[in-house]
Amino acid sequence: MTPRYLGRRVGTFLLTILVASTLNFALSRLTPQDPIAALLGRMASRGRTVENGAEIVSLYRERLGLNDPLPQQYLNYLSDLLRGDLGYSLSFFPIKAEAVILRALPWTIGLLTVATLLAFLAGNLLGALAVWPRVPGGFRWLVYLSMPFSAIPYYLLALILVYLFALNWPLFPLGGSFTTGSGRGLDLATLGDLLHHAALPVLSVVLAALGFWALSMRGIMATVLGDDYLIYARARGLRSRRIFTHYAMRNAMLPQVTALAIDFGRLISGQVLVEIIFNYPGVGWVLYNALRAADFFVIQGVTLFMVFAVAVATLILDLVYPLLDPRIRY
Amino acid sequence: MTRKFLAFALLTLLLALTPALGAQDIAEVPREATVIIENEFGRVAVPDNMNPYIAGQYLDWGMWQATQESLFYLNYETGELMPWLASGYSFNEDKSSVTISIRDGVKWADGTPFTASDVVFTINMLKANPELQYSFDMEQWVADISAPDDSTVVMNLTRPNPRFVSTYFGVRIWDTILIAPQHIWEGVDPTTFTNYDLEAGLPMGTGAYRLVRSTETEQVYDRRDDWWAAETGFHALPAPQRAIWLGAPGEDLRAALMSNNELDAGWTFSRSTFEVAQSRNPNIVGWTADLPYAYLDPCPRYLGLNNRAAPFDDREVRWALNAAIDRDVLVAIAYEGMTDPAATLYPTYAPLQAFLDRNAALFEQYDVLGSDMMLIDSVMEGKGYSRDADGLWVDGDGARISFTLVARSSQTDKVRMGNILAEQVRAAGFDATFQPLEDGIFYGDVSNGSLQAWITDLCGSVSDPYETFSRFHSRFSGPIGESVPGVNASRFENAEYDEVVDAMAVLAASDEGFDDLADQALEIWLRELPGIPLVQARLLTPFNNTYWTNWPSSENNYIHPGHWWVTGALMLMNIQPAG
Repeated sequence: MTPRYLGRRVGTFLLTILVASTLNFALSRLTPQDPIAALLGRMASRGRTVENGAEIVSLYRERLGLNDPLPQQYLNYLSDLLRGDLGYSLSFFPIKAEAVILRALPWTIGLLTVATLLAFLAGNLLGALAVWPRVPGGFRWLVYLSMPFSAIPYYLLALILVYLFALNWPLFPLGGSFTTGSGRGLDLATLGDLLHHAALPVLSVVLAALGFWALSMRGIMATVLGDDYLIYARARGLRSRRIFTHYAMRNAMLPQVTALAIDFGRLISGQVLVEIIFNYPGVGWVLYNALRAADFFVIQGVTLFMVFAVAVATLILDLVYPLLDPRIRY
Repeated sequence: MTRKFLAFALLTLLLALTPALGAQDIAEVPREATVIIENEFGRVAVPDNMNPYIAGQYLDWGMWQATQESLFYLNYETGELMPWLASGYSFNEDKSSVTISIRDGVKWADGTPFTASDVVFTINMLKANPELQYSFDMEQWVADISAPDDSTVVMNLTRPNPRFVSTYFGVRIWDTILIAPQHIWEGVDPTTFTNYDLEAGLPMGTGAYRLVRSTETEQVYDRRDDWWAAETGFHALPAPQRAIWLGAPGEDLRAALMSNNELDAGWTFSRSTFEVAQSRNPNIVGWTADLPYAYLDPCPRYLGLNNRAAPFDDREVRWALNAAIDRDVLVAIAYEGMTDPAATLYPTYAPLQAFLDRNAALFEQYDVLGSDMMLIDSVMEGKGYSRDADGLWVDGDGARISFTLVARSSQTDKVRMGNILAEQVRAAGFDATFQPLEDGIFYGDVSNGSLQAWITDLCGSVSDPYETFSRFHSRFSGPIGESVPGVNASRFENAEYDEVVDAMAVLAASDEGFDDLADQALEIWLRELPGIPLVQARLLTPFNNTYWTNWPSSENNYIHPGHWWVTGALMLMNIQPAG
């Protein structure tokens, strides 16, 4: 990898972040929603009279910097971003937006990264084996069996799983991340409780994504099978298992890995309802509530995290491609 | 490859969740000694911030039912403003100064006496920090506050307000101003202080419980056997050793948790969900054993109309629109028969029902509940409107009366009513459609006056008629485009009405002349009809008798059943183990 290539990729990454941040800033200012009016509305909705509405509006506009000229607001925004300051949460003023988001992030990363990786792994394996010679014919039907799940929206699948395995046959808990009121230590019992609670949410994401990965992998593998290097590998007497993992799958995986990187960017936005259905404390819930409450700074923060996640994933991907495919040289 | 991926997945999970695994280990308490109550909001966004004065901070996840206590509690069932941390209050003659007596023997959880100084400190702190909740209210109402001794607080108000104590310190609806322990809050910046340190006993309250765990989905409180009320004999220790507030987003999950006995007190059910849940678990009960099962909420639903924009700037058109509405259909569909049509914006609690009964003749003159197509035709034709080929009213230029009815999408009953209402008024010739809006957009649009009609609620009076009338005072109005705080979003302005309401404001309901003024205000309100009452609201709050009994009910009505209110503390103190 040449320094020039590295510089160009890092430059593109930074430019992506800058453009996304600018769009993030502009879009929130173009929306017809007035976050401060929304805040006052919420105050009035609980029997409060909110006598000094005009003063409250004025105070909030001042504290949020909304009275500054737009270019000044933009510069302040960029400068705050560089310091990791996402602004105030309007719903929980004067708590900062990053405090709200960062609390939820580990849960989303923990739950959805694992679910996405498991779906990726199982789906690709399933798809690859489905077309691999000498695999029992019945195995191929697994691919077809997985297809209906990918056609069902993941949140519907989640509801079905809750009904079947938490309510009808209570093998798993109805929701949450731990048993209510249970003790928590750094021990196996607590870890087991955590995994027990994560099982259904993970399963709903895995089942929904499995068919997609399996079908696309099957298609790619079908094109790879007749390639000369596989014939050559067989002629050299390599074991079928080695050919499968080190030559066929490795080559077929490249487009799948690209898709995986993009999928990671959707971790936060794509699985909001899973977190809600299973009462899981992740960023999806934070985003959902922020959207409903017009909590602009939290919405901006979550959006930036999404952009950042995709940008970082694609940057890493670009940098590790040569490791995955030795034919690629930069 | 497979092994690497699996290892990476497991490592990611462990790294991400390591802080959660070791967090806040607590002692085991048997389920029979634990009461589990639903957190209305599903979860706590910032569980390590217990600052009760942050704007928008909700505290009904047990913070204000378990660890904190109010100076007074208004009991809807008895009508009594029950002294608690206070032992009483009195006003001067013109209601411009109030003296509150602090109860002897009250102590904070760390043993420090709760005194009048804490109250003075809290009010002054709020006045000095406009970022905090209630700051503007206190700045507006409290001229000065002092504590002549440890058990006496004197507040001089900026103008007479006989409702000051019940409004701000009595849980009139939902909340109260919580008093801060001066010895904890003094010297900290109240706008950034998190009030959260479990080791140090924060959040510090006077309540019977202390917080032992706070996460996004679960708040756990353990009973303090040294609670001041038990020590002084004021009240026995509550029976539950542990109280947990749990998030259960969605009616389906709530029903499942209650059916499985994993939840003892839930947020609300629709009638059909309640009946299904009860069929699975007969221990699930409502306020009444039979229909309506539900308790009357203090916030009747109504159709807000923009009184500053055509065509609803004309009271006769507002009345014509009212005549198009069949409330019985709304009750049957939106509430599955669990509530009643509303002719005013007053919940029919006993003192308010007496006020309405006294004015029965007015309701004959202004028949709010009557559907009358003849009246619509007569009014609209009189205004120069005619019907087009689709039967919709058009003005002389052929323009229809077109508007979008909106409601908050999160409010199921209002969304259900929206579609029916749009159909009803359309059948009467008004070109209406319905659109649910997200809360933020709804509040913004209502506040700036860009909407013509919206379905909302009004949480005003609960014991005397003033509060509801005050919401239509012109001081809460403003021109279209200017953000008003959503109290008088109808932008109704009537000088005669303002004068009557201003006169009511300085009188207590028991004062001479108050009833006459209330009757006058009602006459003007009905004549002008700035908003159209739709239905009373009833909330079906389910309780589970499996582990705990003595939940409030119509037969055992020691307190109203909203466990998410500050008054939920009284429920916690009265439930008993089922065994």
